[in-house]
Amino acid sequence: MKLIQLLLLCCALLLIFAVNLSLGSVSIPFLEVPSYLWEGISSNEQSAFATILYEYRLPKALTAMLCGVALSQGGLYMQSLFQNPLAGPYVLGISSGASLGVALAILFATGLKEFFYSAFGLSLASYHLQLGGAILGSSLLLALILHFSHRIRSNTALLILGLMIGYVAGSLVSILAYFGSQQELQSFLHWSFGSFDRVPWERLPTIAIPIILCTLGSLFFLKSLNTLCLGESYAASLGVSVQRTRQFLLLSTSVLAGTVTAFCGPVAFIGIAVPHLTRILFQTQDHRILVPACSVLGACLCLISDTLSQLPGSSQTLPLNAITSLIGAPLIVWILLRQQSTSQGVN
Amino acid sequence: MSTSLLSCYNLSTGYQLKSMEKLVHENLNLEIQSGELIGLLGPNGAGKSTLLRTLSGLQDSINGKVFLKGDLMKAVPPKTRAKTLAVVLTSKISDQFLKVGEFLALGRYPYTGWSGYLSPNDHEILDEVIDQLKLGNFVHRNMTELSDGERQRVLIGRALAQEPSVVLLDEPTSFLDLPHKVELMHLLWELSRKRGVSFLYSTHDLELALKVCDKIMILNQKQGKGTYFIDSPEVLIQSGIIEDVFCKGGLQFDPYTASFQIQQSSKFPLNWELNSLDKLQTSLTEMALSRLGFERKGEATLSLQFNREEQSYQLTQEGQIKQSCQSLGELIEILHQKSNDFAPISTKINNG
Repeated sequence: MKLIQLLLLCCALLLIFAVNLSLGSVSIPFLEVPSYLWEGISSNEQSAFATILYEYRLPKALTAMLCGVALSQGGLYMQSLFQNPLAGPYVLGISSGASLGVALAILFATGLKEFFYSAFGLSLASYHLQLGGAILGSSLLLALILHFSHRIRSNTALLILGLMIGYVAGSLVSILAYFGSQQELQSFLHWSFGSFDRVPWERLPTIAIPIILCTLGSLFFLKSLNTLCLGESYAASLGVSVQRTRQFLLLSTSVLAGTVTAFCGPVAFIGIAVPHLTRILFQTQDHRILVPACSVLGACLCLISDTLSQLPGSSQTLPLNAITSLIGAPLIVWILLRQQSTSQGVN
Repeated sequence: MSTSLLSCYNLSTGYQLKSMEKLVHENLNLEIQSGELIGLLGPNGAGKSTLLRTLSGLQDSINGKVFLKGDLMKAVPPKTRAKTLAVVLTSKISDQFLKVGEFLALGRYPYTGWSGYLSPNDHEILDEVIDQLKLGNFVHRNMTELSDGERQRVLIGRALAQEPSVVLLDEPTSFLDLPHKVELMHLLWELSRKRGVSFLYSTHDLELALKVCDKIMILNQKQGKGTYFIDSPEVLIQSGIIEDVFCKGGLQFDPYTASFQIQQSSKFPLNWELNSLDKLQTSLTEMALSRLGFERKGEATLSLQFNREEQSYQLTQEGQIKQSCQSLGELIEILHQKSNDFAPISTKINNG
C-alpha cells in the first residue's frame, strides 16, 4: 500500500523532471526531450536544443533534485531528533550558519586561496572555499544548538534559541557585507537569492557525493530513528545507542544543509515543509517509508520551484528563495492550523 | 553472586545538578526474584523515578552496583539488556501517525536486524501479547486516539513484546480511574504468575498495592536523608512503618482493613448501640458517624439506637426519644444537623 504510494510518487517525479527539462526561456517540445537528450549525450555535433538540454537544463534539474533530497532529509532528521514538527535546517538557524561561512569564504576568497596554496600546495576554486565555509558554519551552529539542547528541555525554547542564533549569524553576514567590495557584495547577494543553475557538470560530483553518502548512511539508522519518536529514554531502553544516532543525525544534517547552501544559496522552507507533507500523505511514522518518500517528494518540490522560478516563456528568472518561501510558508501555516484543530479534537 | 533477576547493593541514587551532585538515596539494597510483583511507594519527591531510572540503566548511579541476572548492569550490552529488562515510562507519546500495532512492534527492536524486518516468530510473539492484553480491538488505531486505560495497556504490551524477565513501570496507574487501576493491577499480578515476569512499579496507591503486591518498597525522605524499607505488605503493616511514613495531616491507617481513614478534627460525643442492625448497615452507619465527626463515648448524654421492632433509628437524650427516622439517609441528615449544632462550641474550644 505505502510502497504503491511511493511508486506513484516516483512516477510523478519522473514526469515533473521531464516537464522541468522542457520548460524554460525557450520551450522544448515535451515529447522530444528524450531524443534531444540522447543527442546531447551521444553526438558531438549538437543542435541548439540539445546543447541547452544537456549543458544547462539537465545539470540544473539534477542539482534541484539533489537539493530536494538533501534538504528534506535534513529536515526529517531534525524533526525526529528534536521531536518537534517545527524543526528544520532553516528554522534552527543552520542555514544561517552556512550563510555566514559562505560570506566569509567570499569575502576572504583571495586571502584564503593564497593561504591554502602556500601552506598545502592546494589550488582551490571559489566553490571549494564556499563549500568548506558552509559545512563548517552549519556544523558549528548545529553544535551550538545541540550544546544548549542538553540544558534546555523545552523544545519551544530551543527553537527560539535557534532563531536567535540564526539572527545573530544573519546580522554578522550583514556586517561582513557592509565592509565587502561592490563586487563581493554583488556575488554574495546573487548567491543569497538561491538558484540551482550554478552547478555545471564538472562540479556535480562535489555536491552529489556528500548527499549520496549521507543517504546511504541513513540506512543504518532507520530503525533507531523509529524508536526516537518514543523519546530518548524509551529508545535507550530498547538498546539504541542514542548518542551515536544523535551524532550521525547532526553530522549528516550539517553536511546536507551545508552542501546545498554552499552551491544553491539558503533555500528556505523545503526542509521543514517536505517531512510534514510526507507524513500527512503517507500517514506513517515509519522512517523506512519516510526517508525515501521525503527524498522523492523533496526532489519533486525543488523541481517544481525551479520550473516556476524560470518563468517559462520569458527570459527573466525569479530568485528561487522567493518561490520556495511562497510555497512553503502557507504550507506551514496550514499545518499549524491543522494540528491545532486535531489536538482540540482529541482533548 | 546471587541469581536474582535484578539486584542492587549499596546503591546511591541521585543526579547531577549543574556541577553539584544531588544525592537522593544511599545504601539501597534490593533483590528482585522471578515472578515477583513489587510496589514502590513513597511521598512525592522521595526519589522513586530516580531509583527506577537508575535500576533500568537509563541513569548512572552515584555509587554502588546494579546487577542484571548476576551481571554488572554497566557491562551488559544495551541490546542484551533490552532483551531482559523493559520499562514503561510516564513520558507522553504524542506522535500523530503512530499506529498501536507499529508501537507494539517497536518492542521487537532488540531482536530484529538492521532493516527492522519482523520475522514470523516476531509476529507470533506480538500476536500473543495482543491476545493476552486484549488489544485486538485497537491495533489499527493511532496512539493519540486511545483512552488513558487503553494506552497504559498498550504501553505494557510494548514492554512485554521485548520478552523481558523484569519490567520497571513508572506510575502506571496515575491517570486511571479506580476500575481501570484495579484491572491494571490484576493484569500485572496475572502476568507475574503466568509468565513469571517480575514487575517493579512506582505508585501512590498504597491501599491497592498492599492488596496485590508480593513486596512493597517504601522510600522516604527524613531531614534531607533518604530512608527505605522493603518487605511483604503484612510485615510492613505489623511493624507500623506505614503509619510512620504516610500518616500525616489527619490521615489514619487502619491495620485491620489495610486502609486509610481521615481523622476528623472536631469530635462530638455520642453513645451508640447498633447491635440489631445487620453487618453492612452497622458498618455504613459507623462510617457516616465517623465522617460527621462523632466519637463513641459511653458517658455521652446523646445516644443512638436502632429499634428492631419499629425498624427505625432513635436519637435519645437522657432516656427520652428526641428524634427518630426510618432510613440511613434521613439519619445522616439529622446527624449533620446535630454536628452543626455542636460545631460552634467545638471551634470555641479549639480556639481557646
